[in-house]
Amino acid sequence: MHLRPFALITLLWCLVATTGAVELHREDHHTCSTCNAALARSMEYLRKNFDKQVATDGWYAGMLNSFWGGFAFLIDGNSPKEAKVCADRMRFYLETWAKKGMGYDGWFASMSMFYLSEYCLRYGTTPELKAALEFGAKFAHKTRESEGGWFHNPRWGGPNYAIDISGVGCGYFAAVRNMERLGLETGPALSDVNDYISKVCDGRSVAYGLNGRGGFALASGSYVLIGLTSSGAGDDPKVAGIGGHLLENVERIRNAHANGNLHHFGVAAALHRSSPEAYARFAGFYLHKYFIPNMASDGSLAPFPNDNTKPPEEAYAELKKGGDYAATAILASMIMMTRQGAFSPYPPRKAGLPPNKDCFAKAQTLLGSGKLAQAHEQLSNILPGGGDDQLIPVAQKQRKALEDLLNQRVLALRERLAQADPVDRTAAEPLAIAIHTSGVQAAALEKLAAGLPVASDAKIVAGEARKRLTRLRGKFGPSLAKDTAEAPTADGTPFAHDSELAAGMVRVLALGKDGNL
Amino acid sequence: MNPCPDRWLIAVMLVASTLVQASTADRSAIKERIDWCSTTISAVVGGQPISDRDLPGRVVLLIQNGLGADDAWNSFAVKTSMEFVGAVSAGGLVPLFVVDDAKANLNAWSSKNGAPTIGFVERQHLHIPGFIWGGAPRFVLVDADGVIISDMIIDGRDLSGGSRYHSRGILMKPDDVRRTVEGGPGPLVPPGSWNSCRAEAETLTAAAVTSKPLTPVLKALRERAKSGDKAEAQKLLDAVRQYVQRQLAVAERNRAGNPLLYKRVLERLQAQLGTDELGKPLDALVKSMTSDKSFQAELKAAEDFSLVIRTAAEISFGVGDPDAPRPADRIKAIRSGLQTVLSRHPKSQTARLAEIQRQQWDTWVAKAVEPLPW
Repeated sequence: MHLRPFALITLLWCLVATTGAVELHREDHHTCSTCNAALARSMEYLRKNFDKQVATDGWYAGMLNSFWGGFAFLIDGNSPKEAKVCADRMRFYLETWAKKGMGYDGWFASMSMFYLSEYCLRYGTTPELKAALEFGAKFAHKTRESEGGWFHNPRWGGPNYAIDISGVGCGYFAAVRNMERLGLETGPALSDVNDYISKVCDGRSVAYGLNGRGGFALASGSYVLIGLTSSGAGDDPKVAGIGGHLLENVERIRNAHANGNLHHFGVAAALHRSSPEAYARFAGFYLHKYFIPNMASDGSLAPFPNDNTKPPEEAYAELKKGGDYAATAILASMIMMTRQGAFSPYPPRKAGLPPNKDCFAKAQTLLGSGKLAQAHEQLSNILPGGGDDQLIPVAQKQRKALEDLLNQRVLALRERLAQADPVDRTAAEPLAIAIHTSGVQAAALEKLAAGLPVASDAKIVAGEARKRLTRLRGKFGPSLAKDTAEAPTADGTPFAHDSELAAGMVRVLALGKDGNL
Repeated sequence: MNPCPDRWLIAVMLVASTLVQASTADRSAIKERIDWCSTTISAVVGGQPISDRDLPGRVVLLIQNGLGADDAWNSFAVKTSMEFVGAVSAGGLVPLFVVDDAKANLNAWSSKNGAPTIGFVERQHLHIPGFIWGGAPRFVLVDADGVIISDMIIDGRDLSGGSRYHSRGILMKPDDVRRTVEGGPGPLVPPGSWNSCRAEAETLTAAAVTSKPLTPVLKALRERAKSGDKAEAQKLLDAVRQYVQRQLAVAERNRAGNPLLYKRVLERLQAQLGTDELGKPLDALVKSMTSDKSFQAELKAAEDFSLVIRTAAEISFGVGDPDAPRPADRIKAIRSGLQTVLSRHPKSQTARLAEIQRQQWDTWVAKAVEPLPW
C-alpha cells in the first residue's frame, strides 16, 4: 500500500518512539511454527463449529460470530464458501433484523454493511449484495440523528444517555466509503459519514461520540483507518495519524470502552493496514505472550477483555476459558495478518501467478497492442503477495480507467443511435453516416474487448446500428451513406478506427508509467 | 499612526461579549414545548384518573420507568421520583408515571410511600405530539406554559442515584421543580397540617391534578366557615380563590400565543367551579372570548391544527421510524388536514406553525426508505 513519505515518516517516528525494548514479530505465520500450529487449531475450531454458531444461529451471538468469523474467512482467502455464508448472515442482520428494529440496529446495520462491503471488494458485487448495501445506505441516512451521529438503536431524536456512539458511525463510514469505491449508490449517506468523521475525529483518534473530537475509541479509529485504506484513500493524513495513535496505545487496548473483541480486532486490523512494522509491534507484544498460550484445549478463546484494572498477564489469562467463536475468529485473523497484505481490499491472489512486476510489464505490452481483455486480466493479477506492492494501486487505477473508457465508448456509440429519424433525405445522410461509423466502431470494440463484459454490449450496439441503417435505407433509398461504407480506414494501429478510444488509451497507458520500476 | 492596544482590546472584548450574549440568547430562545391541548390519554391504569383535559396550564412531571418484582429497583425508582414529586406540596404538579405495561402497578409505588396524586398510564395510551420515549428512568418537567424545563435520564446502574446523565435539557434538581411550580398555578392546598378540614384538603389536592368538580367541597367549606372551624375552612377557601386567580394568570399570558390553551383552562375552571361564586369572573371572560372575532378566528385555526397534530400523534407520524407501519388513510388525512389549515386560515399565526410543521414532516417523510403515502 502506498503511503505519502510524510505519513511514512510519522509512522516510523511513532514506531521508534514506542519500541524501546519491545519484541517484534516480523515472521509470516507460515514460517513461525507457534503461529502456524495455533492457527491450525483455531481454524479447526471455527470450521467445526461453523454450522451451529454461524450458519444457523440467528440471534445476537450469531451476528457477532458471523461478523468476526466472516473476517477470518475473508482474510484466510481460501474459504470463499464460508465467507459467502457469513455475507448471507450479514444480509439477514441488515435487511431483516435492523429493518424490523429488533435491537442494536445501529450496530448491526453498520457492522453488516462493513463486512458486506469488504466482502464485495474481495469477491465482487452481486445483485443481492448490491441491494443490501444500498438499502443499508438508505437506512444509515434515515437513522442519522439530528446531532449528526448514530446511537446503539436509532433514537429518532429522542433523548438517551449519549447522543451517539462513534463505533456505529465509524462502521457506517468504512462501509459507505467502500460502497463508493465499489460504484454503488450511496445517496446522501456518503456526505453523512464524511461529515460525521470530520466532527468526531481529530486526525489521530476518535471520540466516544459527538461530545468531543478525538479520544480513546480505538475500534472507531480503526474503522476509519480501514475504511480509508479500503476505499483507496490511503494517502489521507488521517491514516498516518490514526495509525500512529493506535501504535502508541497498542499495549493498552484493554483500556478502551466496553467490548474487548471490538477493540482488539479493530486495532490489529488497522495496524496491519498501516505497515508491516506496525503489525510486527502488535504481534510481537500479544501473540506469543498473551494470546496463543491462553488458547483453550479445543483451540478457542474466551472474549477479549476490556479490564484495565488487572495486569495484562492476569487479564489475558481469562482467555483460557475459551468457547467464544468471535474471539477465536479474531485470534485466527490476527495470526493470518502476520502475512503481509492478508487483510486487503483486494481479491485473494491465485497460486502460481508470476510476480507482480512481470504481470504489470505484460499488461503494458498487451494494452499497447490492443489485447484489452488479456491486459485486464494481467492487471487484475497484481495483488498482495506478488511483491512490489507499490504496483497494486497503479494497476487498480489503470484497470479502472480501462473499464471506464470502454464503458464510456459503448455509451457514446449507443447515444448516437438514439437520435430521432430525420424527415428528409438530406438530413438523413449525415445521420446515416454517423450510425454507420458507430456500428463499425462498436464491432471493432467488440473484437478488442473480447472476453470482457463490455464486448457483449458493443456487439449489441453494432447490431442496433445495422438494423437502424437498414431501416433508414428502406425509408430514404439504398444508396444512403453508401459512399462511407468503408470508412473509417485503419492505419495499422489497433485503435485507429476510433479516435476517441485511441485518445483514451493514450491516457490509460500513461497511468502505467507511474508504475515503472 | 499606531493603533492603541487598549482600544483594540476593548473592541475585541465588546465583540466577544456580544457574541456570547447572542449565543446565550439563541440558546434560551430554543425552548421545546409540549402541546398538551393535542395530547391524548386514552386510559390510565392506576392512581389518580388524570385525563388529557387536565394537563394544559398545569405543571406536569412525566416519569418514565418500570416498577416490578425487583424490590431494590422499586425503592430506587420511587425514592428518585419522590425527590422531584415531593419537592412541592401535593397537587402543585401533575405527576404522570408512564409504564410499559399494566403489570407495573400502583401497589409498588404506594408501598414505598409514593405520592397519592400520581396517575399511572401506559405508553400505548399516551400520545404526545412529537414526543419520543427514550431510556429510563426518565423525568420530563414541563411548566404551566408547556415549555420543557428539564428532560433527564438517570443511569440506573448505580441505585444510589449517583450516576446521572441529562439530555436535551438541564440536570434537574428539586429546586428546579419548586421554581417551576411557583411560576405556574402553584399548589391548590397550601402546605401545613389540616385537622377539621382534612378530608376537604385531600379532595382539593386531588382536584388540582384532575378536573373533578369543586362545588361540593366548596359548599362544605362554606358550611364549616359558618361554624366553629372557621379558620381552616376560610384558609382553604382563600387558597382556592388564589389558585383560580393564578390559573387565570397562566391562561391570560397564553391568550395571544396559544388561544387553545386559554380556552381549555377556562373550560376546566368552569367545569370545576360550576355555579359557585368563585366561578363568576369566568362568565365575563368566556363572554369576551366568544365575542372577540379575531380571537375566535385564531382559535378556530388552532383547533383545526390541533386536530391534525392529535391525529399525527396517535399514529406517531413525524416521529420515530418513518418506515414503521402506519395506516395510509390516516397519513393522507393528516396531509389533507394540514393543507386545509394552511388554505382556510392563511393569515393566522397557526398557519405559520402549520407551515413549519409541514416542512418538518416533509423532511421526515423524505428519510423513509419506502415511499410513504404523503
